[in-house]
Amino acid sequence: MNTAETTVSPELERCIQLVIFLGSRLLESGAESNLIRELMLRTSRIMGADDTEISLSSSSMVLTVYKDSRWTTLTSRCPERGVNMNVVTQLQQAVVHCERGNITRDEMEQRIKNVSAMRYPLWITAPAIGLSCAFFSLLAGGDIPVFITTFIAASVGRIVFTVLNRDRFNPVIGSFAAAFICTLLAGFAMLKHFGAEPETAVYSAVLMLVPGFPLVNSFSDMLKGFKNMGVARLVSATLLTLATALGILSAMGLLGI
Amino acid sequence: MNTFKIITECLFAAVPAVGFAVAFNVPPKYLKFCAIGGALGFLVRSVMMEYGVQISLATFTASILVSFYAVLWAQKSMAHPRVISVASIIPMIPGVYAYKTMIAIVELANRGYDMAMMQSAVENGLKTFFILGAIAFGLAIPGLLIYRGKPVV
Repeated sequence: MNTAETTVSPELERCIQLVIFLGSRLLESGAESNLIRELMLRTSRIMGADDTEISLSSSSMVLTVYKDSRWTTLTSRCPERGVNMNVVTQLQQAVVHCERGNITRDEMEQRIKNVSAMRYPLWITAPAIGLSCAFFSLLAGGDIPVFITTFIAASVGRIVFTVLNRDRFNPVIGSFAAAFICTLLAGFAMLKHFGAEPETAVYSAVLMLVPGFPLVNSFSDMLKGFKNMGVARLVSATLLTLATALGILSAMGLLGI
Repeated sequence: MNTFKIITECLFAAVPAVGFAVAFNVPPKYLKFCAIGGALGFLVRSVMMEYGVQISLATFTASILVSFYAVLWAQKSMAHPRVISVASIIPMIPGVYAYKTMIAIVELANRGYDMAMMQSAVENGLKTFFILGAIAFGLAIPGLLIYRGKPVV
């Protein structure tokens, strides 16, 4: 009676492809592991699977779907592409709206497939980060000259960071180079005694390289039972911090401060 | 209590929250919530520190409050709380302590053991460690205490 079937039914294939697409976009965009698992399982249920489970690692994921008395497994590789909360929000809203019956299953599929990877352009992010670090310097007790130095150093650092990441350099290189340039600019102002406490500019400007998302995600992953993901994220946050520290020290050594 | 100073600092803290939200690519319509979150966290922490609470404990409380604020926001706008909460805690990152630790460690390596430098390295290093831990644990609290095993949205 049983016939050995080697092909996957079109409906199951559609389900698996959509779920793995959603999962890899979420992992690439820096979502928390718990959220990735939840959204993949919910999407899979909407698409008609009977049972689903996933296994996550820092750069790949394995998805297993049970439907019509068959298990099907797919592995996908997902390289990091930088934090992008816009993608995470769009994907989550598509799934939640479909669960609440606001949109149909096909509309959800379309929304997930056509998720816009819109990023703020560099001429917005660089001054935004520059201003952020400049206000950090105010909070740390800096004056107006320090504010200006920090703004320039952090903006230039952000440009260097973005351009290097865009050209597919390792993020560690990007952090090192950005920290180096930031410290060089701020340290130069320090040598010229620009402002009352010029040292403030150095540590305010490099704050833009704090790996906030990997750090916070790593703790919540470990607390919510994704220990290997948490450790992997902690290691990548530590590596980025070390690269930043090395960049600061190299620039300081070069300037002799 | 220096009310004017605290309020100005809160307004200052809102700027880095928005700036980092832009770097994290938070959609434009949610940026104002990051500003509110950043100012709220900094306000709670400054007021507690004004009353003599330790910086790590004050940061922990502020981070828990920011996290609950983000959960309320998340239920209203059907997004994940992390979208705004991480940007909101950025102003509380212990940059000054981390920098002082690094400088002290490098001095120790270059010039050999020195009591004052060792003291600076240990004190600032521990402060950095505890503040970062307080931020990260504080943000995870709603998921651990209230939304156990079920999604926020």
